[in-house]
Amino acid sequence: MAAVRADGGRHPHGTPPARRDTRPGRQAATRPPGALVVAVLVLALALTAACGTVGNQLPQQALPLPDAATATAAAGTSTGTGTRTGGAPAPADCGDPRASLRPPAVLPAPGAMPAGSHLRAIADRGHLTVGVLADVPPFGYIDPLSGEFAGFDVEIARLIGRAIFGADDHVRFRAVTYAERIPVLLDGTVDLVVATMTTNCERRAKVDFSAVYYEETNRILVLAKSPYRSLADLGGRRVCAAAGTTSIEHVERADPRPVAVAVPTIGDCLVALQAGTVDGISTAEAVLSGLAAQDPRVAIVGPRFDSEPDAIAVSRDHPELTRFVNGVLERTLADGTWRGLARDWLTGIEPVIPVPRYRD
Amino acid sequence: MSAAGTLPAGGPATGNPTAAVPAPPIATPASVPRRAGAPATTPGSRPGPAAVRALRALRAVTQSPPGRLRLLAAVLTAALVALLVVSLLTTLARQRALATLDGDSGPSFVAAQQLHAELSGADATIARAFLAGGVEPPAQVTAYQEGLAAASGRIIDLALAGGPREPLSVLTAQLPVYTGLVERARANNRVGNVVGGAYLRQAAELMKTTILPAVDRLAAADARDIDRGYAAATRWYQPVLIAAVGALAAGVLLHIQLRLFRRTHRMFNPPLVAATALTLAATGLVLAAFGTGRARLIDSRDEAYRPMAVVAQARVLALRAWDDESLSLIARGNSDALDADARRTVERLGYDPAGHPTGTGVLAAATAGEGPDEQARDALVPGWEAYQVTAVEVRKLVSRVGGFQNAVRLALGDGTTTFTRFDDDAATAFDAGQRRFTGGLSSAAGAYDHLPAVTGALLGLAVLAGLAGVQARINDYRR
Repeated sequence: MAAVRADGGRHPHGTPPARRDTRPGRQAATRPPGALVVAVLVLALALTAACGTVGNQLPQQALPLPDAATATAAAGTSTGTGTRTGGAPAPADCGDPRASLRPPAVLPAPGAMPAGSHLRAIADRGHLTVGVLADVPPFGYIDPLSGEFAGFDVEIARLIGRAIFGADDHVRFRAVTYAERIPVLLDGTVDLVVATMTTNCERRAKVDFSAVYYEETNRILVLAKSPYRSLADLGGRRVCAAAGTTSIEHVERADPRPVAVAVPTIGDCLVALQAGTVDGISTAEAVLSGLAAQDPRVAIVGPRFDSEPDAIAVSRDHPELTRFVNGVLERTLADGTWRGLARDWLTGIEPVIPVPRYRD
Repeated sequence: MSAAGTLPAGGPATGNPTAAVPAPPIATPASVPRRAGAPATTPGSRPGPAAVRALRALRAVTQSPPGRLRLLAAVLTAALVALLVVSLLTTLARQRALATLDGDSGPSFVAAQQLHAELSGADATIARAFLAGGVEPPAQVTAYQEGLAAASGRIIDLALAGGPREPLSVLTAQLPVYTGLVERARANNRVGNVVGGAYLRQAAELMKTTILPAVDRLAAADARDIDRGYAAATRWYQPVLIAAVGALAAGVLLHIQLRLFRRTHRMFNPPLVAATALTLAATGLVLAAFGTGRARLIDSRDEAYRPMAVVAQARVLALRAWDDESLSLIARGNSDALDADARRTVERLGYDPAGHPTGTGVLAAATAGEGPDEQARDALVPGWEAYQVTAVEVRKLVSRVGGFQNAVRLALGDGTTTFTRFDDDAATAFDAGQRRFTGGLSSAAGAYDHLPAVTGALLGLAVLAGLAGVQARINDYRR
């Protein structure tokens, strides 16, 4: 360093260009190396920023909706749980499950519901909400041609609506699946559920039931050409019933034991039978006749078994509604209306006229 | 000439006589005696096999000033060839990545998105036709059949383009099952069998849980390929490497020129100056092309690819919500799962069940992005909201006494008209984005057009000029 400076001092003007060129170079080299390193780093950074590798991942908003697996799984579990708890024996003995609350001696006239009662609240609201099945002819279904609800259950519900309002078209139907029947009543979505619902002690712990309005007997539906002639022939075979029904419980308890296949609706059972993924369907005979009407290649076979009483489900909070419904049912059974409905809707089935029982 | 003067005896004594005689000014400074010492010590410390002898011979050659110039010329040639090779290899790598993007993963991604829209459109259309009752409106049945035909063609295209086998085989296996279920549903519906509804629900379920996820897997694979293609076409180390090798070559050229300048006092050696300029030009050209290609890729990503993907997603979400509405009406309230699915879908689009925008969501994102297609995308929000007014009204009507038939009428009337308009707008916006995306990829590829030839020519000339410049000085020693 000192030598260079001395050298430069000695030749302030006459230094040859070559010398002048070398000097700054030497000076730079002798500077602290940090500055150079920093300069190189900054240059490298700038270079990298200007030519960094460009990725192209899809933005979050362009990714598909996450699979509804969680939602479906939850629904599946709830159905499954319902079936499983249903498979257990009734927890509480409630006496005679057919016995309901006695109707009042005189039914209030249509349009004149007693003040302060739940019936009055329904009348003031202007409509009665009823849960019915949407795809189970002949009980509850939507006529594909008219788009309107139709069926035996639907007519029973309309009778009750007429008794409250004195006119038609005041019943608002809510289509329910089998598994939904109790939940929609508990959460207040509907006032009544008329959906081929078997009254039993286990269900009575959650909801109240009217008197029996239909005596249902189970049979099985198989392909007309199949060798199966009764549930006993179907041991180890796949037998379909709707989830959340007493039918699936019976299939699970049958001996020899079939493989029970639970699906959301009875229509799905017919789809499965037609696809050959199940060998039989077990449910109420009238429902089976509704399925058989849609497919000439199937047949209802075997003896009647598991006779079960169907009743209208009502919330336990409204005993006066239950009594009113029982009053309407009693009148319907007495004046021949019931027989007329059975003749219209349950064709080909010998109806067993129910006898109401009350527990006061 | 103080340097030469300080060491008068050392040069001639050890140096090559040819160097000393014709060009006294070049008679070298400090380096020569230092090197003279080195060979002296080497034979003593390491007994010399052939390799060492060869090294010694090489040193002997390079010790002379023209030998050293020849060595420098060799180093310069090597550096320029290295620059050429690095430029060509990186350019070719980028061109290959862009060709894959432009010809394979890009179009496949677009096709997968269109396939998704066509399939969910067909599914939603047939559900809507079913809603009309036992006799479906012919126009909607035709639309369903055309949608499926277009989808089948798209599947063939994707298979020919070498798409992943698994999702494609799911599609080819399940699509006939789906159409079979739909036809059974239609046949039963026609004769008034309620089991038709169960068949249609199963068909829709198959579409949503098996077929469309397979399409999503196809699109996801393409999206991954596009991500990889972008990275392969913009590796950060490629321009860094070129800059480094370019700087090295320019450094060698400068070194030679400085050395010659110091020896000869000639300011410029024109061929070497030309070689330097050519080298810098070639390096700059490659770097500029890389920068341009990269910038165009970023533009095409931000202004086309991402908005297009978000629009595609908005479209399939909307179709799904529309489909859910039809199926829910067909199920007549027996539809909690469908309603929940519709809520989830609409929520992701960015609206609450009452139809108020939540400010976030796919539709908001689709219109938020900037770019030339902004206008096409902006039409989507009012379009969707017009439909949503009818959807909210339909839900209200369904829960009213006797409102069901009115709900169906509204859904089949205004609901279908407004939705079709929205869907057309979404398709237009998607097509615009798609054209811009493929155009962007082509223009990014255009940045590298002729680059290998031009770089090769420039660097070839640089090598020739460099060698010529050095040779002229070597020839000086021969005079």
